[in-house]
Amino acid sequence: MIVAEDIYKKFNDTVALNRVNITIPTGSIFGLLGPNGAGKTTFIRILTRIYLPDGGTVLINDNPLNELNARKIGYLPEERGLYKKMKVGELILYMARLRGLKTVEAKEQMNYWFGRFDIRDWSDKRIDSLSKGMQQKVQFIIAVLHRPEFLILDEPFSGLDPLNTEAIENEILELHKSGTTIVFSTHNMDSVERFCERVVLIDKGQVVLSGTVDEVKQAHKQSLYEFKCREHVDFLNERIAKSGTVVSSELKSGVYTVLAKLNTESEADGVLIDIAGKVKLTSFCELLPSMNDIFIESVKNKNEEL
Amino acid sequence: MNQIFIIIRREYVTRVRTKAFILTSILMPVFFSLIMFLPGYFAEQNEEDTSRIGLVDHTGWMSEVLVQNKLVLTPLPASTFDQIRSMINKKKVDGVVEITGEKERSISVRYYYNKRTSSSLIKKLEAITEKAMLNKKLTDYGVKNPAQLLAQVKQNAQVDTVKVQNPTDKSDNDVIRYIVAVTLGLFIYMLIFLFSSQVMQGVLEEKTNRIAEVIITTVSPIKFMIGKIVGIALLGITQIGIWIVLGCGLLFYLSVGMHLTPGGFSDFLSHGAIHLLVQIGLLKIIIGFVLLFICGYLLYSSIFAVVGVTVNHHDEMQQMSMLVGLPLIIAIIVLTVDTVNNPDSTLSFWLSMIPFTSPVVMMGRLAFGAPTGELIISIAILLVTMIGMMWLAGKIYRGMILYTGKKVGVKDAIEWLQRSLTSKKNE
Repeated sequence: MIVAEDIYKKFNDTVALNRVNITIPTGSIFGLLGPNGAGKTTFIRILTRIYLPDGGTVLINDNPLNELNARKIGYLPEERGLYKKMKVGELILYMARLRGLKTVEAKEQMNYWFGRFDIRDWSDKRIDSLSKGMQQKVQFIIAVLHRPEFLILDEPFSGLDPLNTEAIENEILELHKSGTTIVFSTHNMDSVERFCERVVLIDKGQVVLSGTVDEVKQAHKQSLYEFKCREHVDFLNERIAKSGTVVSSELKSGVYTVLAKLNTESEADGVLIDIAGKVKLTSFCELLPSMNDIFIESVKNKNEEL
Repeated sequence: MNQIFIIIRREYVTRVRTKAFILTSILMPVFFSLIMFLPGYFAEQNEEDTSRIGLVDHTGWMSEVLVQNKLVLTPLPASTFDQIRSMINKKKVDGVVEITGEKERSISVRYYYNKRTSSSLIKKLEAITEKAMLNKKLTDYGVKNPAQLLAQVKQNAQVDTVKVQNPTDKSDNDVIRYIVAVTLGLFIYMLIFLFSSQVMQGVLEEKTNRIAEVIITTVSPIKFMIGKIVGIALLGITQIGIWIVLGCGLLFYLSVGMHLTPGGFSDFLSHGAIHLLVQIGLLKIIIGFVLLFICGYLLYSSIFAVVGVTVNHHDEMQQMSMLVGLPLIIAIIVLTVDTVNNPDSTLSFWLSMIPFTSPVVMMGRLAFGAPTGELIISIAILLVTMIGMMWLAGKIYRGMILYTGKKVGVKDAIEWLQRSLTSKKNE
């Protein structure tokens, strides 16, 4: 588990992180969200010991973060580069050895990952002969080669084609299954919805919201329900109006879609009981906000506060 | 510590196998050998060409004098101007030397040509003719052995300077001292600049391609910087080694194997160079050179590392490197203008103590026998400054390595430095 307590970081006159508390549970897929310039990268750089915080502490498995236990962290930065003139194999081994792996061990791991990505013949290729997507695979291997307990991925899918995205996604899920804690920093809400169990949203150096994805959605839901039926839509609308309000009602391909705002779940139950057998209901669901909506709303609210 | 070795190894290995390294390692000695041997080679080539030059000798005895003086021309029958001209126009010969003389005393030499010949032929003809006329005149005055008399009469006036501290030290050495001072001073300047700028380029590369961000999560920036500087220093030492071995091999091959005389260094060698070098303190010069180069390189490479880490573009880097390299250029100017003429002048003395100029100027003064005590003080100042600069550079490096985008001013660098210094207690 990584616990960041009361982290404060200032650059010249700008406060990048203002008393931030974030807990990343072991084994989770954790989403670190926020608009550009929110302080995500600064936070990650503190976790990876690139920056030292001006205030606060970082604990990793209950011990203060130091040079040795920082090796438990693997890091794939957003802006990433490689030595262009080195060969793939050489570069991977160099980075692995810097992280304390013995050459034999590093070679074993490298061959394992070459196998996983089916790139066994890449070892002697020069980095500058690889395409961007190919280079990103190499960067990913460098980040995970020393089998870190925690893997921090800053916008891991930016610039990747769907095939490479899928390949990397699969590996991330595989690592998660084997117990690696994954920290995603992203503003791609699709990947958050798909992967993350817990999220924290940072804006202007402060935590705006945090919790499991479900908790966050529940906290931001607006009690919107969607009804789809084939007949007697007027009856449905009237019944809804008794307990709440009809937000919209429209007909498409012979199916009526009615969006209703009902204050409590029991009111929704009441509507369902009353219309049962009368409107030919085809579907009913509670509409939870998307992470994208929550992101936009939270950032806007934060701006209005300031 | 192990991490530093891994970094040193990478910096060394990736550079040592580049085409640029291999080419400069081979081409530099070849280039210098060519500079030394080509003039002599061409001079020899030109001398052989005289077989295509005809000789019309109206005096009857000058052709023999020319042969005695190793100037072999092709004798032609006595000819008129028109005949000579037609021979040259028809390219039977490249040129014709016509020698006429009255009563064996006054000789006139004329050279006919269409294509200009080398001036060395004309000079040689002039010298031979002058000597022949002098010999004839002296013989007329009754001198029996004019050549011997001439050799005795000819004396070059020369002022001998003797240093009382070391009376065996002869004035001959001044030429050698000058050559050693300028050559080694320039060499130190060139090496410091060449390898320090590799450090700078490496740092900028890592900063702009962002690999630094991954590396410094596992290695402290200071270790990373030191690894790079030391790796490139070893590269420099390897290159110097190759130059020395290849250079000596080539010199040996060209002078012994090919029987060529090195043009520019003939004086140097004819004086028994090694003997003279020993006289002016070869060991002290070698030790001084090595120490001044290593400390100077370490000082400048840490400054250049700071340049690499504070700029964002190649153009900016070049401008800045000119600026920080300025003390070295001043040192070269002072070395060639002041130090070689007056090695103990106030200016030379102080510049040999100031660490930013001392590697070059002290090297120059050393060739002129600067006291060992002064060398030790100079190196000590250089060493202390170098250590301080490395520490400072490490601090700035740590703060700036990930700082891209906005152009960095001196103010930003100082602010970063202050931050790094205050955050040290957190480490």
